[in-house]
Amino acid sequence: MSSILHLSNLLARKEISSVELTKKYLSAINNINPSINAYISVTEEMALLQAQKADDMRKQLKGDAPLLLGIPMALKDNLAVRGFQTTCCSKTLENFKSTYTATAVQKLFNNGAILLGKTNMDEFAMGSYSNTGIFGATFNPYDTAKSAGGSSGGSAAAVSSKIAPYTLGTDTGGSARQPASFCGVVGYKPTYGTVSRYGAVALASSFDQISPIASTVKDCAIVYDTIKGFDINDMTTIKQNYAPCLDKINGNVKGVKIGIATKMFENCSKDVVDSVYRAIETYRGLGAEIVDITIPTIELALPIYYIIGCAEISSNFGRYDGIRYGYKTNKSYKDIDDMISKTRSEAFGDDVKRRIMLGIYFLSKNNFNEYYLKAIQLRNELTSDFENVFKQCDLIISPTTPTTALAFDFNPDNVVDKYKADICVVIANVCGLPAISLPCGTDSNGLPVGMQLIGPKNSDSRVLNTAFAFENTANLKLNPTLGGVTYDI
Amino acid sequence: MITEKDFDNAAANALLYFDDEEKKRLMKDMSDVIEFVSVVKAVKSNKPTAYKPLTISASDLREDIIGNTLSNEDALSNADCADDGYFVVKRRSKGE
Repeated sequence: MSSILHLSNLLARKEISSVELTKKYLSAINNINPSINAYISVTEEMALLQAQKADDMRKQLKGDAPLLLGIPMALKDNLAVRGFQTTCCSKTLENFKSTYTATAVQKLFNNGAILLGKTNMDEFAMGSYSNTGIFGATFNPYDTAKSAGGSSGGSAAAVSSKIAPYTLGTDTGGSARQPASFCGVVGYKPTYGTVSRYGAVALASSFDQISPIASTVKDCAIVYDTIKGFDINDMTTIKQNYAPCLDKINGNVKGVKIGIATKMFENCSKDVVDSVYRAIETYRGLGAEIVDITIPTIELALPIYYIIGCAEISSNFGRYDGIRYGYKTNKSYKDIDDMISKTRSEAFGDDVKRRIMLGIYFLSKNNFNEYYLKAIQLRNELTSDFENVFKQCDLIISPTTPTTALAFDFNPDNVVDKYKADICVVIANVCGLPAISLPCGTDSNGLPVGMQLIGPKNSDSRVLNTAFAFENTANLKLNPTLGGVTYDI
Repeated sequence: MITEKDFDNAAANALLYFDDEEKKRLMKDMSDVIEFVSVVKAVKSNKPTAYKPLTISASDLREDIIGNTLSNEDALSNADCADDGYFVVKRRSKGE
């Protein structure tokens, strides 16, 4: 067992020091990472320095240590750490060094977290297989012929294979929850605006959210409690009192109304549907009430997501000009526009170019009203529909993904067929809702199945508690083929 | 279906170049996506076309006070070419 709570107890009881723990993880990374490619860089020197500081601090604190003190972690490579590379796994930022640290990361550091390294991802977090970046694909620890999911595939695979106790990913359209589902770990996308995005490289700003990935629900709550809060550097963060979620996790779901929208089970494999329905029966057994719900505009979620998402991407990616930072063409050029065009054309991958082009198409004079503005209207419509649904139930349950981890050669002729797998996860991003993916079983090949719980805005404690209730009762024992550091004490 | 003219206009605005093969492939992908999302055009809605803020403080702008920001040295640290505190861009590669 390598949960944050367990490791924190070991450190508090002085059964292990942070330096020893960090060395164990560094050694495990050395052994396991070549098989899965979860890490793209390892910050060994910094990790050992931080670990020594954590051990020194623990001696001074005498029992009042933060839960994360001295515990290693890893970061998706789109999160900034001053002085370290943040590549987004793109040729564009291959040599880019951050000049400041992301607020969420700084909060972890302030609480004694130790950085093991940066994790693999799809280029600029665009993708669902973690195979579009310049460092190659991340492989699933359960079956290395399968994808770890994406775009936070490196972060999920690192936790799954126990070469990081927890990680931070980002979730713009399911990018933390989908790989968590594929890798049999827990991925939590908080309510939009409760975690600062400052220092997270922007993709689609109104959807982006930094998201913890860990081996247990309580671990996600610990990390979320640490990183949440108002930030003057992110105007979308909410000014409110942030009570700790961990204190509200007791596993009691008696009387909680859990909604099922049958639309969200369509096109899912039998193994996935069966596993999620078994989880629903577990909830019924725990005293939760199961209710059928209908969300009229749910089928519009994906089109809305792609129109607004691509529009925001095309705007955000205007910054990559090769002048202020990032890759710059070596070819001759006739003027600045030519230089920028050559730079961007040489450095961006296919997925990035496709979304920028689509965004510009949707925002163009002839299409702005009927695509972009309509998508904004329908986003408001969908948000209202969910507000109404949450008058009938407290949470919604669904599969996280229609299938378990896919092989890398899943390459349909129509690119939309790839996007359709995101139907259940994009809803939370479009409406700014908290959502969690946690394991609920395995398919006939032993690959993990993930289920998702979505709650209304600011119901983060309820979502985490309801997830914990299942995790605690089901007590699933998942065993990836590849595994690193464990402590069965 | 995206027309060649629309594609070329978008590419010019995106500051991206494409060779013929890339263009053909991307035009197909874009057409597939545009067809998929076109369902929104037929849906009637009375909701505002203004973006409804996702968070309660989204319009709560911070006060206009000068604070700590990136130093000049940090701002230039990742630039391909910088001189005397400024980014440098060559105007032309020929004839200068």
